[in-house]
Amino acid sequence: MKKFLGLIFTLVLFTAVTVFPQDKTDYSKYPGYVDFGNISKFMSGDRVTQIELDANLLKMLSKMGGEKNADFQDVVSGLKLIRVNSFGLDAKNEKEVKEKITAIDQSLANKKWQRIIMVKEAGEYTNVYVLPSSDYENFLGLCVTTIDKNGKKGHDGPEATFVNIVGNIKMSQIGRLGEKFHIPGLGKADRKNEKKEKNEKK
Amino acid sequence: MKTTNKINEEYLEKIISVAYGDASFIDEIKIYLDAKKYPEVKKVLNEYRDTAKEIKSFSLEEYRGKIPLNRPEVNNWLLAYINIFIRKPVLAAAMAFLITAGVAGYYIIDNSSNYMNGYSKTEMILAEKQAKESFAIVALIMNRTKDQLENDVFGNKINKPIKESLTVVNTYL
Repeated sequence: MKKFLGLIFTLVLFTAVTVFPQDKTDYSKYPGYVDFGNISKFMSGDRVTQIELDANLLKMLSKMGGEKNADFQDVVSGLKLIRVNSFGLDAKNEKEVKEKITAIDQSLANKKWQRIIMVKEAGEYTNVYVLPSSDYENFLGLCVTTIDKNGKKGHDGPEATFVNIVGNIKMSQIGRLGEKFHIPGLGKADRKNEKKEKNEKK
Repeated sequence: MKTTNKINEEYLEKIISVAYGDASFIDEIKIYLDAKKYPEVKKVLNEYRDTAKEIKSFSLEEYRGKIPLNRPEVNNWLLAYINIFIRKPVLAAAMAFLITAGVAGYYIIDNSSNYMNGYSKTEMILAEKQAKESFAIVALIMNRTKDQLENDVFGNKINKPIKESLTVVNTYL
């Protein structure tokens, strides 16, 4: 009887373990991972965007959808992590965020990251870094740190955005896909899409 | 208790169960070992075994008429069911196993149809939207930088001075 109950308990436990797999990947082992530090303390206001898509989810996304989604699947299939932290700035945290951006800049400069874009002008900061693979065929990581004085929507006031994409990155495809998607409230990219559509309709 | 001359009631029950062949496996071994060790236990066990043999040897006689029952009849179906499970623990365990297996099976089948590797459809749709949003943010930043480069750097900082220089040159020529 005891053996029987033990068997049932084991079966239930096994089912629970297989049905709900717990996977905690340590992303810091990937070369394309950038540690933004304690960024969550800034994520308290109204204008907050936090995206974190892990390897499992991205793998599943790469299998989802049909031919229509082929471009998207192709880009996503090589990725290990997508992390976006975006938040509104105020007088209190602006200085601290700028210091963080400088610290990230120094940290990446000490590694093999390459800064491909740097804009520092009238309250606007944009740094785009890439980590090329050893054969320079593709990128293993992408990091974007930016302060936009007008915000993504173009009228919200200063906003900081930190992006880290880890994995095999096809930059040209990301750019193309980014322009293709309609994301409500994403200022210029959205307006450009609308214009394009209007012209196509004409 | 086995070491003394007295056998308590609980132990005696076990001896009787062994003698009648309806004791648990563990009790059977225990009593068997005790019987080897303590003659008193062996004696009682043998007595009950003999009695059990005698009882088993009785042939069944056909009884005509009503059996007078002193105990009240169990009308409640729930009590009857419970009674079955109390009397037959293996049956209860088998039922519990079947129910558990059924629930687990349903869960697994349901999971495989609605979920992908532990993610629900809603989670997948949200993830797709977020991935696209991430790409759009990157594209937006790139485009903004490109525009800035075209308008500000090429437009004002390079083209404008070149134009001015050309105007100056034209004026003097």
